[in-house]
Parts: sequence; C-alpha cells; structure tokens
Amino acid sequence: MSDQTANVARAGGKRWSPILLRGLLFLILGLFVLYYTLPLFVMVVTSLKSLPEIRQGALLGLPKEIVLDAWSNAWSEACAGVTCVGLKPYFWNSVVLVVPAVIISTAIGAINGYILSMWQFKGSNIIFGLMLFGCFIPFQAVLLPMAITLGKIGIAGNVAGLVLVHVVYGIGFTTLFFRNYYVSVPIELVKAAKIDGAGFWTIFGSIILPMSAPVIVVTVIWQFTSIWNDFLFGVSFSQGDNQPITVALNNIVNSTTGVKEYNVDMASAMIAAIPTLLVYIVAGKYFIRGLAAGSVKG
Amino acid sequence: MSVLEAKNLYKNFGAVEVLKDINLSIDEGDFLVLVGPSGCGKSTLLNITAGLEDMSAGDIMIDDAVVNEVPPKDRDIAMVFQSYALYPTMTVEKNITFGMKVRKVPQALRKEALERVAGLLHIDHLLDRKPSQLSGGQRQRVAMGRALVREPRIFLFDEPLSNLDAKLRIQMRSEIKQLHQRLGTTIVYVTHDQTEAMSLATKIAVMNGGVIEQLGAPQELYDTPNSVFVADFIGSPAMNFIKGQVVDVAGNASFVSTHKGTDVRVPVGHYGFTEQPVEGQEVILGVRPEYITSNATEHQGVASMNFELTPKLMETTGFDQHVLFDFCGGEIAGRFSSKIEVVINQPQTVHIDLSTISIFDGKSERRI
Repeated sequence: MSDQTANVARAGGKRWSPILLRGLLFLILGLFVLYYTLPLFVMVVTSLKSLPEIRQGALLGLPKEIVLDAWSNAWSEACAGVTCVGLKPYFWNSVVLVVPAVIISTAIGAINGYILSMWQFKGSNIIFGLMLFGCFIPFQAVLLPMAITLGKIGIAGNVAGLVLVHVVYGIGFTTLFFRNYYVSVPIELVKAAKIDGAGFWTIFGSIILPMSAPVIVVTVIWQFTSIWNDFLFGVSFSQGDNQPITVALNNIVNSTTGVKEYNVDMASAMIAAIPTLLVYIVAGKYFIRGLAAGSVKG
Repeated sequence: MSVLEAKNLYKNFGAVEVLKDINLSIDEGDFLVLVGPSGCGKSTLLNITAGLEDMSAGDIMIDDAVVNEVPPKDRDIAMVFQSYALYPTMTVEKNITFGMKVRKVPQALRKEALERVAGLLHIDHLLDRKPSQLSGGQRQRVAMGRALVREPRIFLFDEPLSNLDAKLRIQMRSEIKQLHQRLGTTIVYVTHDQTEAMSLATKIAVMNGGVIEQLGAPQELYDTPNSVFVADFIGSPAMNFIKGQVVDVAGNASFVSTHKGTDVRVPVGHYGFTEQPVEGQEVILGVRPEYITSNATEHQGVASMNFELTPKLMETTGFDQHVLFDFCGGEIAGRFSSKIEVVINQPQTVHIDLSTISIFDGKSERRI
C-alpha cells in the first residue's frame, strides 16, 4: 500500500518537477540578465537625456525626449583638464595603438605556438612554462623596470613604447592560445609536408595557418579587449596627446567645472566601450567555437 | 644492389633502447612488411628510414648510398600515414599536387601526374572536395595518391589500414597488393596485423623488443619459425605449444610429455634438427592447429598419432571449427571440419599429424 502511494507520488513528481525546475532556471537566468544589462541600460538612457531631466532623478526612466548633444559633446568638445577636444583624438590614439599591438602579438604568438608544439627542441617545455608564468605577473610588478627599459631604448612616452609594452605582455597569452590549439593538430601533417619537401615557413604558411582561423579569432578578441581596455599601462607610459581613450575618459569624468554633466560622462564611457562590444558581437560566436575547438579532434 | 639497407642500426630514447642492431636489406620490387606488437620499434624504424627521426648509431642506405644526413625530401621516398595526414584546408587536388608545387614542378607536368594517379585510384570525381567531405576509404585513396604521384624509389606505409573497418580493410589490402603487382614498386609497410603481413609481403621482418626476430618470405616464417615468438605471432589461430623433453637422441628421437599422469611419447625422428639436442633436453613442440584434426585419413604424413581428448570449447568459423582441448598440462587448438559434430565435454579421437612440426629449446625458445 505504502509502495503504491510512493509510486503515485513519484509519477506525479515526474510530471511536474521538470517544468518547475525549468521555470526556476529561467527565473534565475532572467535575474542575471537583468543584473548585467541594468548598468548598460542606465548608461544608454542617461546619455540620451538632457541635464535638467537627469536632475529630476528618474534613473531608470526612459528619456522624455532623445537628445544627442551629450554624444557629440563627448566626441569632440568635452574637457579633460584645460584641453577641450572631446574623446576623438584619444579614440584614434587607441586605434593606432591597438591595431599594431594586436597584430604583432598575435603573429608572434602563432609562431611561438607552432614551434612549441610542432618543432619541439630540448627545453622547449621549460620555455613554454616560463611564458605561461609571464601571464600571471601582475601589471604593477613590471611598471618600474618597463619604464626604465623604455627610457633606455628611447621610446618612452609615445605610441611605439606602449605598443611594445602590450606586445611583450601579450605574448604569454597568445603563445598559450596557439600552442594549445596546435597540440591537437596531428603531427603527421608536419611529417607529411616535410616528405613533400616543405620547409618550416612553407608548412606554417600553407598548412598550419589556414587551419588556425578559430584560434586567431579568439586571440584577436582577447588581445583587442585587454589592450583597448587597459588603463594602467596607458596612464603610466603615455603623455598628453598620446594618451589612449581609457586615460582620456578618466580625465574627462574627473574634470568638473561647476555642474557634473552625467549625460556627457555616460556618453564618453559608451564611446570608449563600443569597439570592444562590437568586436564581441561580430566575432563572439567564433570566440565560443574557438575556445571549444581545442577539445574537438581536428 | 639493394634499394634499401639498414646496417647495425640503433636507436635510444634516453636510456631506453628502442632499436637494437637492426640489419636488413631489400631489393627492387620487394614488399617488406615490418610486423610486431605495439612498442616493438617498427614505426621508429620506418620513421628513421624516412628521415623523420635520427638514429643513435648505424647507417641507412638507399641505392647503396648512405643517407643518414639526407633530409626526408631528398631521399626519394613517399609515405602514407595511419591518420592519412591529409592537409585539411586543401582540396584533394591540392593535397596531391602540394609536393610537386613545393618542388616547383611545371604546371603541365603536375596536371598530367594528377590525372594519371586520380585515374589509377578512381578518385577523379573527388578532386574538388576537402578531406572532411570524404569517407575513410576515400581518404585512404587520396593519401595513397599523394604518395604515388611522386613516383618515388621507395614507398613507406605506416599502418595505413588500421583506421578502416574490417571489410574496407580487406578491400584496400587487395588494392594495395594489386598496385604493387602492377607498378612493381618497392614498399616498406608497417603493421601489427599478421594477416595483413602474410597476405601483402614478399618479405616479412617480425620485430620484438627492438630486434628483428626473423626476416624471410611469408611461407618460410610460417613453416619454419625461428623462435616461439615468431611461431606464436604468425598464423591464426596461433601455433600450439607442448612442453616436454627429447629422448633417444642417438637413435630414433622421441618427444615425451605427460598427459593426465600417463606418458605421451611422440616420434620426432623425421624432424630435421638444426642443432643436435642433448638427451633429456627440455623442449617445446610446436604444432599448427590445422594439423590437429578429427580424421586420420585427412593427412597421410610421415608420422601421426591419435589421442582421446575432451573438447572444452568450440568456435565455428563457418568453413571449419576451432576446438580447444587440455593436453599435456596446456591447451591445444585443432581445426576440425565443420561437418564433424563436436560435443563439449564428450571425449573423442583427435588426430595429430606430425609431418610439419617445430621444435624449440625450452629455455632460449629458439628453434633447434
């Protein structure tokens, strides 16, 4: 008898629990979505409001009237200290900094990974271990030695210096990405190509690199995001006109003359964040695919 | 003049000796199969031949010229890999012509060679596909095409059929054999499958623990194996081994053993000993299963004996049945006609034909 009731209860439970669990799952996921999108939402709506409307205090309310003044202000007029040129020149500083830094660090990482996985030599694993170690050295620890090195080379305070800093710091990560991707590529490919008569660079260029699209996307996104968003290296190793957008954003938000223009601050922050958002939206699915690619047999 | 020769070849990985004093040579048109269990060094030997790995000592010679320092591309060899190693981003056509492109062969010649090989292997219709769009058998063909297009002095095959299913494997095996017969190429082929070795080779090298146990024609290895290892490795089901002693070595020699407490005495006077045994020497008698049958009239050999034995296991193959008996403290398997009814645990007459036996020393396990 008790068995029977237990069975009935179990059958009932079977019918209802999946739906309940699923509902709970969606509820929790929904809360997280809200939690993460709310700041973005507040930023966007605030940047589209006029100052008087902001002063009324409805933080979450939609703007009564969409005003784009804050965006144009942030782009070309906002003041950082005494210079009032907006974010525009600094945006281009960041582009000029990020593009070569990403390309160079990704290229070096690809070659490093290719060597460390397919042309292993005595001690190559130790070198790889040391490079991995480099990923975990905090930014602050290298500031002073880096400053001295840049000074000695004579590229302190300009874009070239900052590119070098980011390339050096990024090589650890890019090497890790490429090496881990390439160890899943069968070594027979290299052997077959050697017998076909191909050398180091031909094998890399005609066989290995064309297979590398997923890991290149991952590495480019990773490097682009971390270099674009970097503040500490930017503020330490650049001056005045050469500063990247993150430093300029900080200066704009911190220089107040009388009234705090929240809408301009928000628009500035949005402008500084849009490139990384775009990169992720455009290449995001490749990012996930690339991260998973290492686990799937080529 | 031999096409390929290995002389006193050694290979160590650290303290581990992978190859020990390897000596072999093959002639034009030979099909040499290196066969042995995993880890016996056969693939290492192939890689050293290809120039993909360095030897620790010794020489590799192609056409009597030492090629130890010659890079793979200049050895005039082509290799087919177990994983096929097709370049995944290239079409079949590009895969096949990549080597010629690297070597800067003129476009017209490339096209001609491609067409010849594609026709030979029936892959004309696949030329525009990527490797991922091909079945296992098709990939195998493309990998062979890539090797064939080069018209090399020596073909190297590294377990090329292990990734195929059983039926396809047999089909590809006979195609490789036909290709060899038609083109008369020289081939070195690595496998762990003795059936593949037997059916393909003109010469087999059975390897074990980094040494060549025996090098010879397939039938030679089957009939007169040098050691218990070779006897056990070649042939399926494996050779039966019975432990015992040789007596009366001066006169008509006999093999004696004990089965369930009674002495079993087997005449071996007709056996051609390669070294004279001493009286009472511990030996292992080897008999292939096909010489253990149910019917005395099947074999009219020089010597034969009948025993009453109890079947303990029976496996049918359709054509015949493999029957397992306890005998002289071990197990022996016989091949019975499928028309004979075998009842498990019911004693029956078993006929052992002794015309084709092998005798090995009990300690060294070498043929005597």
